[in-house]
Amino acid sequence: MLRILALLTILFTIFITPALSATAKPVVVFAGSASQPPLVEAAKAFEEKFGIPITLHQGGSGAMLSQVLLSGQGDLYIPGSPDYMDKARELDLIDGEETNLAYLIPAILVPKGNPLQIRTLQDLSRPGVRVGIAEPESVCVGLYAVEIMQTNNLADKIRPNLRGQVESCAKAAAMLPLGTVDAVLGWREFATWNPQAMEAILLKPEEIPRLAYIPAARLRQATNPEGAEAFVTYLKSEDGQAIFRKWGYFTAEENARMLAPSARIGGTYNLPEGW
Amino acid sequence: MIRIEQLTTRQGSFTLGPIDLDLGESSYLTILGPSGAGKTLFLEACMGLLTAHSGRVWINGTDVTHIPPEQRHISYLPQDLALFPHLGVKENILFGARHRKVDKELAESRLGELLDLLDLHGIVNRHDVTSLSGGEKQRVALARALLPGPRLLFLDEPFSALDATIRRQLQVSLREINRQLGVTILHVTHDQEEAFMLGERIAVMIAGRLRQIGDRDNIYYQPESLDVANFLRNQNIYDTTVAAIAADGSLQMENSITGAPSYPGAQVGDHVAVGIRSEEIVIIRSNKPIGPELQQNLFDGTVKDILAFGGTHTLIVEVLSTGTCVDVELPNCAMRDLGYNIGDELQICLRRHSLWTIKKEVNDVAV
Amino acid sequence: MLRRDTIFKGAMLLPLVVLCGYFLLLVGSQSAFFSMTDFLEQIGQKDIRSAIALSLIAATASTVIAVIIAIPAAYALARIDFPGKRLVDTFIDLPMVLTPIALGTLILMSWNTSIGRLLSDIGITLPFTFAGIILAQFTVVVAISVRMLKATFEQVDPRQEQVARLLGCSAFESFLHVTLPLARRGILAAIILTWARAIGEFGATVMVAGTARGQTATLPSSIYLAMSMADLPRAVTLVVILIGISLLVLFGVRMVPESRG
Repeated sequence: MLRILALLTILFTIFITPALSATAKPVVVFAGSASQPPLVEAAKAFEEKFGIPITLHQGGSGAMLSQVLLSGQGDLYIPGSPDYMDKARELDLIDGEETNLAYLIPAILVPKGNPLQIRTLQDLSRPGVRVGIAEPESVCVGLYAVEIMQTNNLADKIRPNLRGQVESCAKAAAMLPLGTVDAVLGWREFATWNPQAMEAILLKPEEIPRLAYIPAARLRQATNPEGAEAFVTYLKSEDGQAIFRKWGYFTAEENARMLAPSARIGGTYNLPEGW
Repeated sequence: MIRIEQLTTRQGSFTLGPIDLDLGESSYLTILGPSGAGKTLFLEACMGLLTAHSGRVWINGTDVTHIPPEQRHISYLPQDLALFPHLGVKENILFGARHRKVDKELAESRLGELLDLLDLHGIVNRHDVTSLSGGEKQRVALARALLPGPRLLFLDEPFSALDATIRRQLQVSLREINRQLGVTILHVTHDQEEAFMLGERIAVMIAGRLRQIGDRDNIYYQPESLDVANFLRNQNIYDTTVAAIAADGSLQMENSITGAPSYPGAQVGDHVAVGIRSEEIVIIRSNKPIGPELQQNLFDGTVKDILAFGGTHTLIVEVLSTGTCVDVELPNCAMRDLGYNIGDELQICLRRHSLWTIKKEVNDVAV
Repeated sequence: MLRRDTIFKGAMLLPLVVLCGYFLLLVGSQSAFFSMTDFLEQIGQKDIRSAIALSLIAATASTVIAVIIAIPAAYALARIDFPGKRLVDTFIDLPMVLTPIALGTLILMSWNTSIGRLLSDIGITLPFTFAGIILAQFTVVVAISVRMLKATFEQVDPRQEQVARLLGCSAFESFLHVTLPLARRGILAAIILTWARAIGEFGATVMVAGTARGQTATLPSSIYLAMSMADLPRAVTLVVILIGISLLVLFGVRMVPESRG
């Protein structure tokens, strides 16, 4: 027993103490997975530059929202899409305006080398192609996928090919490298995270009815609103936006528009009956 | 030494007591009873392992009813011994010394005595008590119980798992312990032989009550209730009624038995049970003169069956006049001399001094 | 006769062999995604090192707390009669049937009650802290400890405790010198299982403590984060580390010699 305690103390001193000894009050961020890679990097850069630590909790946007709601904690909410920001606003959790950090463009994702030669949305309805999407009711990227299939009148044809509707947009991205499916209707940005594992097949501009973006907003319950504000300002600064671009996101509307000139940005879409 | 007054306790639906008992210094009492009679429960209540519902327990004049077990200074040898498997032989024996804070030198010298007394020198350094033989375990457990130098030792069926030879050795050891060390022993058993051999006094416990306390002869020859008589395997028990009271106070029965002992308040017409142990019945041989005590209760009968046991035979004799059966026990040597066969006629005598009488209560079941 | 025995033994051994083969397959399946260079590079990262430390410390701490509480609780359930015991006995099992995510949700909600807010006001905040991990793991594993230890104590013969009492031990001394040593193996088994369950705990931990890298992200949470980024090499590295550490500890504890006294 004594030995265990001693070991604990040593481990504690080595690993935990540095984390605890940070002087400035940390900014607690709850973020959806859609922005995980750039946010991790940006948080590190921000800490180094300003000396304010960022505590970054990540998961499904909905799960993060539940935790914010239940715990009454958190300074900043950065969901993976505007829908969850609307929900958070309905729950009266948001203080002030949201900031648009980057755009998310719907695309078809295939494994590196595109073994099944999928070129168009139409190809997803080919027999034997296993298609993955996220769960449309709770995950935004799933809803976008359904909207694309519906507006292009391919829903009935692609639907038999659907395998597994996963519960987070991040898991949708992981289905490809695991070999569970042959193609995923997801965000183009998934491919830019993992260029060695997958590639994105862009949809035709007219096939994209709606674009998503990553919003950030301060929480009403924030105990460190200044820090939260500073972090958002940093993310929106040239340095911060560069990190998003580095991970393949579009940060300017006109660039995103080039891929989908007629698409709406944000807004709502009601899931049709039967999904 | 220990006095128990109106002790009662309960476990589930079973009620023990009320029990009264008084044990003198260095005495040896066996509690004899069938399994399920509450013998272990009684020990547990005396030791404080079980809360007494009512009544008191006194040890050496101190009321210990509300004192925790460890302060009652009773040593206990349970049926399953409960040796500590995580300790070696020596640690097991010295366990009590360690926790009773017995002086180290004293403990060592006692250990030496007990090793001699119980012949434990050969195994005292063994580490694994689970590998000991049954008799060895028993001796270790006994040594463990005796090491703190108790004045009072409780034994719960200590020898039931042992074979006869080892049992006999340990029974002899117990008598020595009782005599040499002056330890007062309360010994629970269901084995009649053991109870009669070891107990100076014997208490018979049936269904949670002490039904009779007395010495060997008292318990063996004068059962005070039918329960006790049945439990002690009295074969010859006869229901009858008192026909007359003789001048000497003895009772004459309807079934023509005479000279049976009386009881307080005996009246003609009382329903009674009369009994006699089968080995107390005398076979009258025509070629031998008979003394005056054999002039009474003579019955003619025929041998209906002969049962052979280890050292004895039992003749089942049907009495001609009444048709009742009487068990007659003969040692093998007598049986060889007499050479009875089934169907032989003979005369038996129910000696009056060997008879007992129990007045039947309303709820006593007929035998 | 002998032949039948062999068939019987074979029938019993076969599922064991199949099971081991299946587990080996699972463990080996990552090899397609595993690269030693990635592994060595990632194992040096601060995030991963802190995830290892967090996991080890939190699992050990929650196990120690759980067992310290479970020992008396289990003993009470095994030995002491009190009114409503069966109800209590069943109630204690609740965390075992509740999914960890539900437990985590309930813990978070509990900090949003007046008691929780009161504690927060005086500076005791558990959600999204290291202590939150321990609380989450404790909540999930304590019932397992109680259940296992209760079975252990039930196997200890009460006679042995009674004899100890009559040899001069107080109730506590007899518990210390007889019951605990006799229950030693069972306690060890309970510690192993509790620890194993704690280090793999994910649902409640993520809910209560979040996934902050370097602060509350344990190995399982880090695996989840890596999967969320579709970063399989990282996920595989973490899985390998988790397997390695767990096997090391489980074997190590089993190697503890069976000393007496």
